[in-house]
Amino acid sequence: MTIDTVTHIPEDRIIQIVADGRGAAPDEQVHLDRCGHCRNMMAELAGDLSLLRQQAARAAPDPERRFVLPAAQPATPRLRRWGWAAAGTALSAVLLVMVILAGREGGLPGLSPQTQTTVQWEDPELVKINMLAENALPDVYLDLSESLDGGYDEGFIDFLIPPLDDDSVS
Amino acid sequence: MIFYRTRSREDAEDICQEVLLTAFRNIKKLRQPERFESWLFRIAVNRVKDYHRRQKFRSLFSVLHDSDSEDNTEPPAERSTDTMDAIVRKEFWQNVQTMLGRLSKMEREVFILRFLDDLGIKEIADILKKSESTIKTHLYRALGKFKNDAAFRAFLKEARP
Repeated sequence: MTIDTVTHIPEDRIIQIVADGRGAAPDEQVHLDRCGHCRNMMAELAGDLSLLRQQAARAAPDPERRFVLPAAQPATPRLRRWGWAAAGTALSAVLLVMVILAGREGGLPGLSPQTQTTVQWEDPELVKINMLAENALPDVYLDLSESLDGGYDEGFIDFLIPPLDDDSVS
Repeated sequence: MIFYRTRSREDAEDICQEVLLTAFRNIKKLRQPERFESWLFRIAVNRVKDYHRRQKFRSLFSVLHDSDSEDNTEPPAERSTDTMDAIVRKEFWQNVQTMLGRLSKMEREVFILRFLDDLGIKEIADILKKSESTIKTHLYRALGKFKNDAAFRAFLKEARP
């Protein structure tokens, strides 16, 4: 279709150009550049639509409510999770084996199996302290009883170290 | 965009909340992230349709419907704080309603999406699940009616800020 200044762009076509928002075809654009009538008609229609959009936005009330969506949990890498689980299981297994082995071999003399597992990694001085705490007696007294492993006579110990509430000492 | 279709801020906010929650729950179903806006609009349009269905259903049973449909579109606090502004807004939306009332349902939806929500024809086709040519047909008709509505266009020019 050839458009010159005499035959204006049809009204329907102007509507299509404005609705599509993609601009006019080259020959239509040539006509629009020359023809004030068509140019004004198109500009007026587009201008009114722009006015409508602006006024609608202005006439819409500002929202009062704020929406807070629940935050998504950050995804933990599976390998990392499995790594921690495997490390925990391995550590537990090692500890269990060590406790069992220590129990079979008898561990340190004069200490209960529970104390032994703790004492094995400790300083010799601490071992002595633990032994004292466990037996409440210095080695010399334990030697007197001829045993370090608790096979002592309670009566003999009471004789050596009287209980605090024993009036016989005072 | 929801307010344009409900004319009630509270209802618009309720629907907006529903839309955001629906989107949040279903975001994994979105296969083309570049279509997020269309997808969100589709959810919103569907929720607005639900809203109008509910309103229509309620109006069948509510004698008071007429009294609370138009006058309470703005909350009382807003009316009292800026009465003039509220009147201007109300007048504007009444005129928009009259103009849109001359369009068919589909023409109205397409017109609002194109000229108030500022969406492209392809996006509108995505939202309404129609072909682009169908959208264009409705859009041209709607725009033709708008062009011929001299009273409304005059009102827009008078109300220009």
